Amino acid sequence: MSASVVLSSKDPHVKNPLKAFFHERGYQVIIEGQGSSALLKALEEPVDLFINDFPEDGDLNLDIIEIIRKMKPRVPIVGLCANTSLAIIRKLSEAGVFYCAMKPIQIGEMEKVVEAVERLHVNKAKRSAGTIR
Amino acid sequence: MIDFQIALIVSSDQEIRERFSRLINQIGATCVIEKDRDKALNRMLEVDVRLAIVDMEGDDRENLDFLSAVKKLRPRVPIMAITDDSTEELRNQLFNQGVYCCFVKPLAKKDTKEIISKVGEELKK
Repeated sequence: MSASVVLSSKDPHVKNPLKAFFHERGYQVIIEGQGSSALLKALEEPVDLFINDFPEDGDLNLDIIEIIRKMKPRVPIVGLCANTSLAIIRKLSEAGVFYCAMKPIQIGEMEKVVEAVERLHVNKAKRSAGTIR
Repeated sequence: MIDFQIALIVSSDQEIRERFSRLINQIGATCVIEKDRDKALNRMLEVDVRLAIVDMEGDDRENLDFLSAVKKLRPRVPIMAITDDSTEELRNQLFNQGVYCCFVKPLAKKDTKEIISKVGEELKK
């Protein structure tokens, strides 16, 4: 079964490159424009990575992130922000965001993020199998 | 009087929020009001909500996904829907998503009695 990623974004400049990037790596990509629809997919399907695009306008809405942390605490969450000030990074980190990437998306950066997520899953699997502590 | 029963009202329409909160307070229950759906879902995990009153706004698929997310997070919470679409098809979809009753907007004065009875019916359980 291929790994899957849920992307919550309305922005075509985010959706299109990430869709191509993850497809190329063999991921199943689910893209939703609404937070509640993305949350539903994350609750219904086995998810290896959840990516939340925080829109530039409006408040930093952390509700969906907080729900995923509560309901699926092992799913790594990546935040995409146009503004990565220290205050925002701190808020995202406190909410349980694993990594905060800056927009516009840099494919090289996403490759490193995905490698880190894949290592995380391998280590989790080893921990479950008892081969590492 | 109903003690400490909490109803969640989800609507971006101020008139709907005010009308339903008045009715709920009238029967002695408490309400939590959210304009934003994501916030409403998060509140459902924090507060012991006994009834969700959801205003169906915008896109049908997004509405149905929101109802499904409510059901995923709180499967036992009954949902009352308010919609401006009175078609049989939408009603059936809503009932399939676990909605137990549905009111059509604009709400008429005569609906008040029925709303109170339907809300009270669920909160007294």
